[in-house]
Amino acid sequence: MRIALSVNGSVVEWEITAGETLLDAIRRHNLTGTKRVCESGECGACAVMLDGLAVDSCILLAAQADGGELVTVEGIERDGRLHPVQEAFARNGSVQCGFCIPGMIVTAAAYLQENPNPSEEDIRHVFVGNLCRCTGYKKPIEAVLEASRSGRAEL
Amino acid sequence: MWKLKEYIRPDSVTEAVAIKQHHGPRAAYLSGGSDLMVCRPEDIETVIDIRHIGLGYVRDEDDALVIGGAALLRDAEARARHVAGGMLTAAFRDTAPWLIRNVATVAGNIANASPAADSVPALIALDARIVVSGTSEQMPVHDVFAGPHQTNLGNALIEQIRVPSSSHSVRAKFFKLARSASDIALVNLAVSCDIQDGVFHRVRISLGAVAPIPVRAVLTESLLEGQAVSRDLLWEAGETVKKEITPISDWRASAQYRSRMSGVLLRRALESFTTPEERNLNA
Amino acid sequence: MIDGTTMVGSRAPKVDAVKLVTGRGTYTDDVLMYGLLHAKIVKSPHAHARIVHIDTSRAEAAPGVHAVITHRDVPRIPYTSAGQSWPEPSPYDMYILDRKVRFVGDAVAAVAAESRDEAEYAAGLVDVEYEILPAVLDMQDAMKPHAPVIHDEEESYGIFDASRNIAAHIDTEVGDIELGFKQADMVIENDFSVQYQQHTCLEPHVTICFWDEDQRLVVRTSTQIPYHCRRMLAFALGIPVRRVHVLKPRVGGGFGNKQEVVTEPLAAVLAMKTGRPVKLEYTRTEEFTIARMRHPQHIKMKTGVLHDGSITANSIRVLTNTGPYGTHALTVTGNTGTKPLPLYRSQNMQFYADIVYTNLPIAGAFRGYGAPQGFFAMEVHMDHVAEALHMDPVDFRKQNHIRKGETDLMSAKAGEGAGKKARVIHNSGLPECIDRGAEAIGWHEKRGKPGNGAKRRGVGMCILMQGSGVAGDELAAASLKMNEDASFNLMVGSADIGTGSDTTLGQIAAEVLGVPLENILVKSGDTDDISFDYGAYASSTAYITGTCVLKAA
Repeated sequence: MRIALSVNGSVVEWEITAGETLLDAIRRHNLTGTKRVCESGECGACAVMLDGLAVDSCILLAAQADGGELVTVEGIERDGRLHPVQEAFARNGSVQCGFCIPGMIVTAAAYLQENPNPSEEDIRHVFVGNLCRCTGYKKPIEAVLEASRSGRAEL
Repeated sequence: MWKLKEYIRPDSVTEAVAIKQHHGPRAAYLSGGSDLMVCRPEDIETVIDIRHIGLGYVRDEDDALVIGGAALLRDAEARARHVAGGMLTAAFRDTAPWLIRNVATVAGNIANASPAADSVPALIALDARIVVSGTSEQMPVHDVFAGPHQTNLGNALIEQIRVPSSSHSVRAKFFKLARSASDIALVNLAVSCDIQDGVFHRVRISLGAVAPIPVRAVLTESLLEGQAVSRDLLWEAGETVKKEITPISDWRASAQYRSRMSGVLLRRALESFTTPEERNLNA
Repeated sequence: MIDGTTMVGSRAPKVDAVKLVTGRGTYTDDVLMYGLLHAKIVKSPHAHARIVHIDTSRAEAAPGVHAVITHRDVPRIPYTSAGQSWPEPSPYDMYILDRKVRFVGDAVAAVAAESRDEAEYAAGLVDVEYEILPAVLDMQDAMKPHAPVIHDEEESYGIFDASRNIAAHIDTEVGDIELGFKQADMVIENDFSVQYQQHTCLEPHVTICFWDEDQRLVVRTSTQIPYHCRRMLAFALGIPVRRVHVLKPRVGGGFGNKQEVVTEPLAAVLAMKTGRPVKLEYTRTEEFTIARMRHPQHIKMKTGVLHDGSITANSIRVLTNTGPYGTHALTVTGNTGTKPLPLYRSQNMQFYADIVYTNLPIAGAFRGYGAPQGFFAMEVHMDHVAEALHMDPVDFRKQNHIRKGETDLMSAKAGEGAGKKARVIHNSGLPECIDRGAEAIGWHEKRGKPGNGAKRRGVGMCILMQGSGVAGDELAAASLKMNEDASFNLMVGSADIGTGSDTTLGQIAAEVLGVPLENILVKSGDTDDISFDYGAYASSTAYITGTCVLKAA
């Protein structure tokens, strides 16, 4: 089947199968920043924004994105400039192996749109669905706090 | 691998139900997919996406907080803060991590009929009812369940969940006991009641993950009903509730632990409604 | 900042940070590859069985299928999947595909098809007839008389005693252990058990293999050990090392699970057979079942002490479950004894271990590499010893730990690099560490005073000893090339698997060369670039490859 959607600001048409996940369709279209890890909505490494909400793309069908507005980690930068969350993650040593990071970046960027001034507790709560195995939660939480203080975290 | 043949996106409740009736057990309603897309049942060939049939609302009506059958947990969570001192919001928050609450629905948490569904005990304790598509009838949430992952809904879908205004001002508490913030509950429990002059009224106790379906602890409710708050009574309630559940042992917890913690959580919930002085008064 | 340096010790953003936060970091599976096929493994449903018959005809006829391979299609060369320096200490007891299966999930056949779904569908169509054998499902049963023999094949070698399911064995003594126990005023014994664990790297095992225009096998793989992988793969396939080119892209975590050759051999055989690039990627379920785990162990501790608190004899006896294959069998358990034992001064020490085969999941390398199991047992046990002596655990350890200038007597006898000179402790911050730790947690105020509330809190302590690298066994390589703008290509054999070693090594080069870090262009883990490097394990990259970079610069 064919779907039409906006991907990182451009309208595209994708040929997909009924049972294909949104994650598979995204990666098949060369947007490989979105990672395949648990495929069961546990880890958040495949997080994308669909219609403004951060979601796990492994447990959505690609078909469900038909007509939607999709932003992947590749669409988080603006005008060649890193998003404050990306900047803070890179500067703060919040990145180790990096495999969970695109999902964390998307999750944090989406959350800051809703709550531009989160507490540490808020961020911890939001990151419950983002698993990191290099045990790097502290640094990412600090990075999101720093990004929120930059005052330009809105997308 | 999921050999799904067909994805259908109806525009209305009537159309969605008609498609489901046509396909029968080989079709499933799909909303956030946080259960269906994880289980991927082999016998399902068709999914009916109900995200676009006008049920995404959460609104206050005169007699109830009304949660549409496709309303996201995140929206219900935000709009239920005034209900039962925030107990319902707490239960919705504990149901799943934020990324999942952005797609998963309250109705899905009910219709999935997991014995451990976190929002269900909270809804039961607040006398919530569902409106079944194609009927004007309302069904208590507790009556939806036929067994683990089995409902009495047939081909119908949950059009609304109605949390009556009469329950909005009760004292209430929700607890989820789990090994981690994103794990399935070992035990979950919701309690609501009124306390007037130190006496329990309108007590509702519901527990999850301790029986094949969510439990309403009616014996314990009647034990408390009309009785004065006391330490002994709370202790007895914590013991009685264990007789109303049939937990199993699995890799998360033993039956014995679940049983014991059910009593502990109930006592803690009841204690939270009263001061130590009140409890000691009748000791 | 370290005295006299400007770059080393400074807080530089990781050299790969920007690409990782933008999603541009390319891991193994993040490339578009023309004609890529997807592989799936046909897995055994039985813990122990002989394959009587395999019929692949239905699978071969399935849509999209390009190849189905069984034991008939692979060279019968026993190999080990443990990525360690030559000579390899693990037994040669694995086959790319075998006539026998030794645990639930063991590979029976593999399929390459146009898509993941088609490969999975076809894998379900391979018809296998098994002769089910009795299985060893508890390590305590492995050495019993008449226990099923897991490696009864003739070709495997390097197994300590295949007829008794013993993959490896350790029996080492320092001094006279029996005499030591006789001299003791008191002997304390304790038993401990440790379980399977899984590393849970976010990126699963994944390999893409293809033949290049020079008929060389290019292996793009998520590994900690590119060079070991090259050698081991060539060995298992029976081809010269020069025909294998291993590339390590970004890696999404290793933790020891990728100090192994896991997905590479089957991907390679399928690529050879089809002439197409082939990807084999484990699912999360496969990671939990057929990748590698931490070794479960039963550990018996026995210590003889005098009333004054000194130790006359100290013994560790270990039974280790290595699963059906002995990957890292000897050396992981080696650490279980050789790291904790020398930490306590005693003239008499014993370390005895049997590492046995079972029909359970495969154990392998896992962070700490056997030492966490040993220290868990040793340190809980030493608390009991202190208790028996009515001594404060801090005082007991301060009295008994190895000191500067003393010799680690065990090091010459057992463990990796054994048989060389005994290790002398040239310096040690342990006494200061214990004092400062005790002060920081309020040891003297809080010990033994848990309070009376529903929640009671205590303080505890333990001491540990680890190593960086395997002395005398391992080596590294680095090469620097200057460009016309005073930038340098730094090529290293080490594998940055998320550890930050590309940055660390870049900082060392920048320090010596007096250029900013951005002038150092780091590339790691491509076996065609530069000489042999042992890889990323044993906490050694900064120390060994780092020293190498220092010398190169």
